[in-house]
Amino acid sequence: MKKIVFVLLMGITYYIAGMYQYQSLMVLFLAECFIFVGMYVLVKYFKWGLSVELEKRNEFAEKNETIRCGIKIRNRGRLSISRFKLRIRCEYNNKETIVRNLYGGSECGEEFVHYEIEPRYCGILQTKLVFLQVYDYMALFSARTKLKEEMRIAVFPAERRMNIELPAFGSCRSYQLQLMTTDYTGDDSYEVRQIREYQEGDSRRHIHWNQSARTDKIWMKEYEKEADNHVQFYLDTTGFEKAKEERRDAFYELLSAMVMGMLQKVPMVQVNWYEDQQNGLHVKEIYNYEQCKEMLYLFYNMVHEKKNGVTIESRQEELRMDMESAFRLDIELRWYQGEKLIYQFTQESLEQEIEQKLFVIWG
Amino acid sequence: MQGVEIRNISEMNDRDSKQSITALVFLLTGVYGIILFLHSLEGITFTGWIYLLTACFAWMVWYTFYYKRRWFYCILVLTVLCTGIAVWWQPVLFLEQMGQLAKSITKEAGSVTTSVSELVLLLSVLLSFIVFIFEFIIHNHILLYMLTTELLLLPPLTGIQTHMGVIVLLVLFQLAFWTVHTMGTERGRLQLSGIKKHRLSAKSSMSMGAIIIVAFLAAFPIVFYFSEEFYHSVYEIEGYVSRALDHLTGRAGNLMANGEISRGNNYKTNTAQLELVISEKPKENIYLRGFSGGDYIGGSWTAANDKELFQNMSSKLGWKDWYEEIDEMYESMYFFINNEMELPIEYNTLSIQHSSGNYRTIYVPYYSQRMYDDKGQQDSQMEGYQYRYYEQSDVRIDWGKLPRKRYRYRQLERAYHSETLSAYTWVPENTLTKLVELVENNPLEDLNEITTFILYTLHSNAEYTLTPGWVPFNQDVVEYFLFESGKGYCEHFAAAATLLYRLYGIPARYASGYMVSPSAQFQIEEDGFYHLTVTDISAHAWTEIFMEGYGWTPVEVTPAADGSEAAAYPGYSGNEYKQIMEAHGWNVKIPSLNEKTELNAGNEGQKNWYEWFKGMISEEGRLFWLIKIIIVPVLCLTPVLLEYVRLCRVKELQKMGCRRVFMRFMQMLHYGGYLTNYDGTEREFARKLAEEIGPLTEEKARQMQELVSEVAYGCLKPDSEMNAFVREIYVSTVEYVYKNLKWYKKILFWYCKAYG
Repeated sequence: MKKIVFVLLMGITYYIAGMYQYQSLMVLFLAECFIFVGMYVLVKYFKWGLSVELEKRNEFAEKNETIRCGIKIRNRGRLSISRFKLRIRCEYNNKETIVRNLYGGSECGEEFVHYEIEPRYCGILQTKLVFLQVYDYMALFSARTKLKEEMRIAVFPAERRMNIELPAFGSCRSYQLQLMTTDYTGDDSYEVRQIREYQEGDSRRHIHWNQSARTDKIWMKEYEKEADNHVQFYLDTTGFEKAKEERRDAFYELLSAMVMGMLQKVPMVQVNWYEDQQNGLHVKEIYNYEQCKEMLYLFYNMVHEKKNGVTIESRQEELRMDMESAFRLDIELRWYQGEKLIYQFTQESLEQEIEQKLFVIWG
Repeated sequence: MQGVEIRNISEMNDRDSKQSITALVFLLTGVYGIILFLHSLEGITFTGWIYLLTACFAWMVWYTFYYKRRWFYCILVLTVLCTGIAVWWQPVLFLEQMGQLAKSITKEAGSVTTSVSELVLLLSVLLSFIVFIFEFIIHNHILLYMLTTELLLLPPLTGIQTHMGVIVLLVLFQLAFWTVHTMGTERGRLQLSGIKKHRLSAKSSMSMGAIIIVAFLAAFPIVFYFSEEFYHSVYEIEGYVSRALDHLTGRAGNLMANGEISRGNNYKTNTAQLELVISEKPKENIYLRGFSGGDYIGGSWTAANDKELFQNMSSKLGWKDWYEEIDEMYESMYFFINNEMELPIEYNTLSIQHSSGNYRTIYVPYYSQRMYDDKGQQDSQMEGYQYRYYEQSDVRIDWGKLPRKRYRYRQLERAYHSETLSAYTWVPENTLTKLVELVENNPLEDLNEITTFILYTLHSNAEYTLTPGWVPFNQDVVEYFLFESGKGYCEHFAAAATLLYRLYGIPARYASGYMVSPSAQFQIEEDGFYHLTVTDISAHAWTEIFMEGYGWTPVEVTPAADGSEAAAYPGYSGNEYKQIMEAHGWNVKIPSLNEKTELNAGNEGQKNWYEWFKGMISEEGRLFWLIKIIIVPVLCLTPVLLEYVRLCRVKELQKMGCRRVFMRFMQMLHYGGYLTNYDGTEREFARKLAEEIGPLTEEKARQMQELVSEVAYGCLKPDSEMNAFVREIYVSTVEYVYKNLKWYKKILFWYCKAYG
């Protein structure tokens, strides 16, 4: 549009200058012609001189946390560039794509500029620089350079713990479920193996009151099961590739909250999932939140690389764990123990369910 | 909900929101461009100190807005108040000056020059404010762009001659701010952060300014040396379009003679208009008159209406019974009387057919009589019409030899002549002052002398061209042709000659139609008649004067292509012309009129810059010109240069190591009066520095001190992050110190101490 207006003005100037034989105006017309051509040459020069690259290729962030993405701009030319447009595309596994144009300018040399993004879902967020479009000083012309810069941001859920109680520690490795909303009164039917000092995270239900009263320290009862205590989790990835990002986000939130909730009660949670025939079963032992994030990151990568629609198989028969006692979580947010449904979470009120519900799991 | 949100980073950097001084300079180019435009108007003048006062005022507005905001509002209110008081106190003065300014724009000022300094000062102050508000506060460039474009394109339309400087300044203003507003910083757009917008806009607009100046410098010599080629290229395009439109609309084959004096170019289409069949090949030009002009009003001729004259004649002659016959008698009187002379000359016959079939206008040869069919019918719808006619050289009326029965014709002629002396000598003298003055300065009485003078005036001051360009709106076409542009074609020559004849008291009319030359491509037909297709190329305009014994006689005033003088009528030919020219010492190669505007003499003037420059200086005083030419630009450019140097220093600072930066840091602090007893190595230096410089924390100050010590005395090699860290502290401290400095120290600090 600007080009049309400028050319129209040039035409009017030329016509009036010729019709009235007005030399000054004819000089103006010719100068405008030179400027017009000059702007075209300038934009090619700017295109040659300007390059952009991302400061980082990988980043880790928490969900809803603002991430500052740095871009290095290099202007090799001798003239500053008043305007360029950078198109950025952000997407999760080729879905939930948003495209935005960012505007800026560049003086000669190198400089670092930033933009902020706020991811709203967990998973791998890809930020791609699609193209760089430079403009001349009058924005009459533009030139585009395609870019291949890409940054992967692993977005993790915030550290949260679901309220899970594991009261029964015994030789039997299976746990029975009893969903309760009131406090658990305890059942000391299991043999106390030893007593030990209190550690952070221990349930107060297992405090050895007698011993603690005798000494100035708090002592805990350690049952037979506790010494070799861990929880097995299996992630059922059936239907994962077709799920929307919101559902996947809910899945990750729930998984993280569950694992961290369980880690309060047991020293280790073993998370398993089956990828495919080639890659087989993934087993990840988690002791803390960092390892939980590592597990999530592995899972994200698997999901991300299957983005072209290859089915994520779940092959129960190849599992090497006792499915009767193992916990299972699927994309429909159903939490099983073995084949028995413990609870069906809902996407809409997931937060509330994580925060408010107490799950007591019996052996 | 979208899975990700991208947003702007809000940066609370006040410095970025300021505009550099280059923006002020470009603002001034706009204001100066408009003031210079006023300066180029004829009929007004004002003092040159207005430029300096305007610059000071604009600087004050810019400075207070960005650095002393409260003062800005005071100045705004004060300006409005002072303007109101000034106008209220001297309303008559301002009204008079505004009226004079308006007359200058419409070119009605005449030769009187009036001073309008007060009005221009007021306008320049208001203009500075308005431009500032639009560009820096509202950020709307479109309105001002349109206004300045209008100022650029208006002068040719109204005949105002502006300096080249007006155009350069206005274009600089237009395009520099176009650049600034193109930076994509509009609301609603996502911006990358970390970019110093004000610095970038300054650099970009300076680069654009340089490009504009280079473009003008390249364009000027090309246009100067090839201006005619440029103009002709425009005419060629216009001609092509005009011809195409004429063919499309059918106008090409349907030309009608009229009294409009064209204000533009004339593009022929070579379309057949008339088919002529003549009994003999003509020996002289045949003028086929389709229109005769009566009164000249507003650049065109009304149709001559002899009916009123015939009425007057009838009552004066007492020919009430014969009134109805006067028209017919007079129409073919000269042919009839010449025929009565029984000369051994045969009359010719001429058949005319209109190619378009439209017979609204009839083309009549001179000294002719219309031929009718057997029934005596005249039917304008029939295919063509015929005339008998004599060529001018064959008209030899001797009124003395006329038989008595034909005496009425003599009475008729005398009576008609008497009427023409009043009817066809009127000129609107109040609108043609230059023509009137020309005639008053050259009193003549003899018809041949008058004719020679007219030919000399026209041919020495004007050249024939079908593409003379347009006439400005507010100027008379004839006076513009003769006194300003000096270019035109038959219509202009004929109109000018007719008016001059009338001013000399000789009855004259503007006539238009077709002119057929003896050298035309006649085709001999089987019946011995000569056939000719007349195209619009033969369309012509000429002057006809009333001569006793001949009636309305055509006078060819348009110069011939071969340069010969074709004007001839009974008793006047080329020989008389030469004799009279020699007798008066007139030379057609030397322009007889001294009044030439820039348009006509511009090319000549521009070729002799040195003479012009010398003349200007000696005219107005060298000292004053020294001030105008040297000091004012230096004053205006100094801030630009200082800012440019400062920006270069800032760039150098980016490359300095932390030790050098720290050294400058200490110098800068000492100049500002901070920690003058410290050299940066003391233990309590960091604490004291944090106390004195508000934004700087003790931790950061200590880190800087330790870093610089390590680099200076240890074996630590600073990397880019360390240098950037020290630089960041330097820049933030500079801003703090600058803010708290006394006003008289600020400029020196900013341009020399901090970034010098």
